[in-house]
Amino acid sequence: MRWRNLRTYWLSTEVLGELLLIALAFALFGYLFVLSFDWPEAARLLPRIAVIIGVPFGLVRLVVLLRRVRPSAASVMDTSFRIEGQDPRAIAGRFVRIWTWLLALYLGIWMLGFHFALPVGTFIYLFRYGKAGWVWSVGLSVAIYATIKLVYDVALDAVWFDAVIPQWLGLV
Amino acid sequence: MGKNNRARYGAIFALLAVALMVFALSGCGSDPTQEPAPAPTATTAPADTGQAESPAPAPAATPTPAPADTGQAESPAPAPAATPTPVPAGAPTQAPSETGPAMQESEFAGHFDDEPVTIVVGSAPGGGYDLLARTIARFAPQHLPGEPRRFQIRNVSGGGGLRAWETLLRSDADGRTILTLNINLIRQVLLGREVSGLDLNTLPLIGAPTRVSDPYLICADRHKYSSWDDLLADGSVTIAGGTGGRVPMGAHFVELVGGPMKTIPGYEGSTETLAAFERGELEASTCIQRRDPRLLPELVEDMRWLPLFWWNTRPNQEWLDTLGAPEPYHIYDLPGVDFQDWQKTAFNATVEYNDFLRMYVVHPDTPPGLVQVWRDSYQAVIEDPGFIEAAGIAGYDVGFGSPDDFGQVIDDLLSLPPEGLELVLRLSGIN
Amino acid sequence: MLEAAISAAQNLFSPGPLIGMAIVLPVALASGLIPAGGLPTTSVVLSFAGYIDPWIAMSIVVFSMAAGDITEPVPAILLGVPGARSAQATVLDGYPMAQRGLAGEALGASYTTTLVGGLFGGAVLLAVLPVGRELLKLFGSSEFFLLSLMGILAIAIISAGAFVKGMLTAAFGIAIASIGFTNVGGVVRADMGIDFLWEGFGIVPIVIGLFAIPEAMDLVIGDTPVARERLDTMMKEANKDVLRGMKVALSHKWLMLRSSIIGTFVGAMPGVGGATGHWIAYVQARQTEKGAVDTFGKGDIRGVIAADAANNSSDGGVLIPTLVFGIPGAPGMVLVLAILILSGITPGPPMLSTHLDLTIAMVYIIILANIIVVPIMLLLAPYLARVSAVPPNILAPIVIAVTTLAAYQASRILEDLLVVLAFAVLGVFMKRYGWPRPPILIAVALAPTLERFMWITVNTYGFGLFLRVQSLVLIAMMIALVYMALRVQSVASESAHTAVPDRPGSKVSEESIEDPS
Repeated sequence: MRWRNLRTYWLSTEVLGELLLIALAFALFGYLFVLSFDWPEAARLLPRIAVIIGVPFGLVRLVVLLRRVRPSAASVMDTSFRIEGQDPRAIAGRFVRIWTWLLALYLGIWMLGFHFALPVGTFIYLFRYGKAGWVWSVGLSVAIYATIKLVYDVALDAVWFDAVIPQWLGLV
Repeated sequence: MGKNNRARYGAIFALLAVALMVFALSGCGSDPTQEPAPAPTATTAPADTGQAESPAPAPAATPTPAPADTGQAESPAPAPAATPTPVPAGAPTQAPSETGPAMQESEFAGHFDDEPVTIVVGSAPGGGYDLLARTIARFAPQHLPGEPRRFQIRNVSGGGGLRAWETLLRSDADGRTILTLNINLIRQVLLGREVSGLDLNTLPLIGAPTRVSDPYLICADRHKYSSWDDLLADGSVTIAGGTGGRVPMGAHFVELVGGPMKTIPGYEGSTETLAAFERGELEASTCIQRRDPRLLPELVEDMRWLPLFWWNTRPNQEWLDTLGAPEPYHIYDLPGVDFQDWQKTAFNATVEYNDFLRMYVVHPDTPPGLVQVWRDSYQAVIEDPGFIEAAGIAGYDVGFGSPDDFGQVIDDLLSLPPEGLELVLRLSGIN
Repeated sequence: MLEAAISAAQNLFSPGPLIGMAIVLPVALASGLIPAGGLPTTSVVLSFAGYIDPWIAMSIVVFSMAAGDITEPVPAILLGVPGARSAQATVLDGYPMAQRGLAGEALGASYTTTLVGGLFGGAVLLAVLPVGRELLKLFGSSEFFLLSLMGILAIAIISAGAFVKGMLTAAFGIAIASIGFTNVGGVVRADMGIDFLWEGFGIVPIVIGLFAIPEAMDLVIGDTPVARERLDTMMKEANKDVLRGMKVALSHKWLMLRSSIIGTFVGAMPGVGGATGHWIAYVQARQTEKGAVDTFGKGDIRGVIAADAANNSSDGGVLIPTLVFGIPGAPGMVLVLAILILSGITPGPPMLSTHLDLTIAMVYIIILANIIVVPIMLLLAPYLARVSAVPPNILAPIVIAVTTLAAYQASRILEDLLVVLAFAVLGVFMKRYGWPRPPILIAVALAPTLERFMWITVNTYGFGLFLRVQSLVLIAMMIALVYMALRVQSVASESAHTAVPDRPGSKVSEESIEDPS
């Protein structure tokens, strides 16, 4: 009974998600530790301190997590997602939507550059999901474009990377 | 959303939009092409160049000293920017006949008139590379043919100078973009790294600004030691260094061949180093007449400096008299330290090589005539008395390093035995 | 000195510097409001240095830096996005206050305390200028190292209750900061063969990835504005909220004073400065204020007061090493020094004798910036507070767009957008699984300073560290802090059996293990 409960618990998203975080931390610690043998003493000190602190605390966290923990009264000094009492499917939908938009925005920036992708991407979100209406969607997008153009281009003489599509078209 | 709330949100958005516009427009107040006031007159004695050059930019969160004090580390300030540098109003534009061969002048007269000239700097604003580039940008318009309208500085950090080199490669080969090449990139090429388009044998160098024959002198703390023999007995005297700069490099060299010096990396700049020396944290420091007594006069007044050894050029007698006995040794004559010939050759090559810190290059495909125009103009800038004075205040002792000399330096380096090249790299702060 | 003080006032209050400050005022205000990134306005001035009068150049630069620092708590409170080096601890209580519809109160308290801290820092700077060098000589690399360490130990304190997670994420942050070239060891560490990683990760994309994007996503995913409570009241009574915040701040004058002293003192330690002082001030408030251990991190206004007093008073502190030694007290000071040099002025001790009036003028500018900017921000505060009521699907895309722009422009390296994305994924995971994010931030900010001063200390002082009174005092303070943290931890563990997390959705955990069967 105890084993079955534990196995169900271990396969829950609560555990698997955090295991991923711990694995990421251990991967970095391990990578730094292995490489540190090739570095001079001065260079290996800091990463090894990270490993010496991180690995024991990581192991403690791992044990505490796998042995199933009851939340303590004190709280982590950070904010958490405010999703209590909401329909999980709606949450998942909004999660996918914002991530899709973010990735599309960044892809757009890479392909088309900031000047085009940022105002257009913002407009699409504001108009489609923000329900901000034409006036505000256009107004805020234009304000973003004006910031790019007037502040960064004119005042700061900013350097931009060459976006992919303008390069293909021979525009840059 | 209620009607009232909708109105409130509207007001907030309007406020945000107006704020953004005001913000945007107010940024235009600093028109980079506006005519600036004349440059101020220098009020202080010229300073020396840095203690050391950073092998690569330091992490972003670390504070970096101003190059007047050191130049040990290039600025890692978090917000690199490309910012225009205006040409001083009323700056006398030198007649073409004074800048280079007549044929090239006529061919390229007016070439720089319409478009701005960009100096690409591979580090953040405020660092050593950046400050010197800005000082060059102030004086270069007077020496290029025609009437260049403006210079702009473009800071492109990343990849230890690689990004800046790539920026140069992507620019037009029209001589309107020049790069102050990060010395680390050359070091990496010497280590065998492949850098696209960078061939040491055909590097399109136009010159280096800091080729000088400075007297480099190392002193110990007189409160702790009274002679070189004391140091030998102690066996390990702490001094800031080990990161590749030319000033503490002699101490690093003595350490690497088993002498009684212990260089400690981590200090950022001469001011920080001298402050540590003054409070007794370090047992030795540089004691270069042009720079160090100006930064902390108390060290002279208190007779804290015990001269130990010099290299490059012998310090003048007046300065040595001020410091008091004993007479310092030439580095190769230090008792108790055994230098082998190949080590001396490597050290000499490194001293020469370090004179080419902050070299300037143009696009590799730039027409030869235009390259020559740049070389002539660049030399004229470096030898301009106004530039020498301004660079002195910025912390640099300047002198023109010619491309031919650099070719010789590279040849010398490449002809070193493997252990010699390794020593050069270690002296350059690469482990 | 008096003559120089009068001359400084005469020169500063002349048309050139005043016009310069007036022009830069709106830019500086807007710059501070951009989360984490800000604008490289100082580097624009750098372009003109040497061409314009040094008084005008310094007025613009010091004023814009001071004004930018003053406005930085706004994104921290309203959006939960800390500054790259300052206004970080403000997030811990400021943002939860905004979530409870108390943004106006938080801003009112923040600006009152900012003014007090700023004026205090300026006054201290003015007072210690003549003896600043002698005072700073009392502190060496060992103390700078211990203060950096204390900054990171602050993580343990603020993470009490989740001590293990706090230390683990701090170590993770140090590991992240280890990537890239180290001047101390002369090698490129763990670059994985990627040129981009030669110089390691920039702190701005980390802040934006770790905080700005997850917080914006939180709004969208939770389908709620920042403020969930008091929405109507807040819209109607924002002015009253701000006034109430001001009153509350003024009623905590000793807390403000203590925090200002800490901010100024730590700020004066070269390199350690701005990134550490406000954290230490926050921790001291948490440990010394009545009941704060239970309420800090959940929207306690005293957390905002402590953090912001120290945050702004450190401006005066960081100028002390900059002016008396020519050593930059914080990264931004590099540009101040550069502008001085390009203006033909040698910073450091020579400046105190040859340009004492300009040196004193910098103190005036800091004070002036506080006197001008704080009232403006207080006037704007009721309107700014209402940003916390903006619908999530309107605020989130704007925050993401603006911060993305800031992330790119901080370095102008395209790969930094990938860094933003990577840290956004990490930030979302950490937020979801209750791993505190501030420890990563402070570890990344302080690791380079910690590394170099640690190496220097090991090689110069060695065990002599324990013979220095100054170091021993700091070590004793650290031991006391850790002891208090562990005590809080054990109290939290004991109470775990009778209490449940009081913040909805909190995934806090640890220690008290129950039998799953």
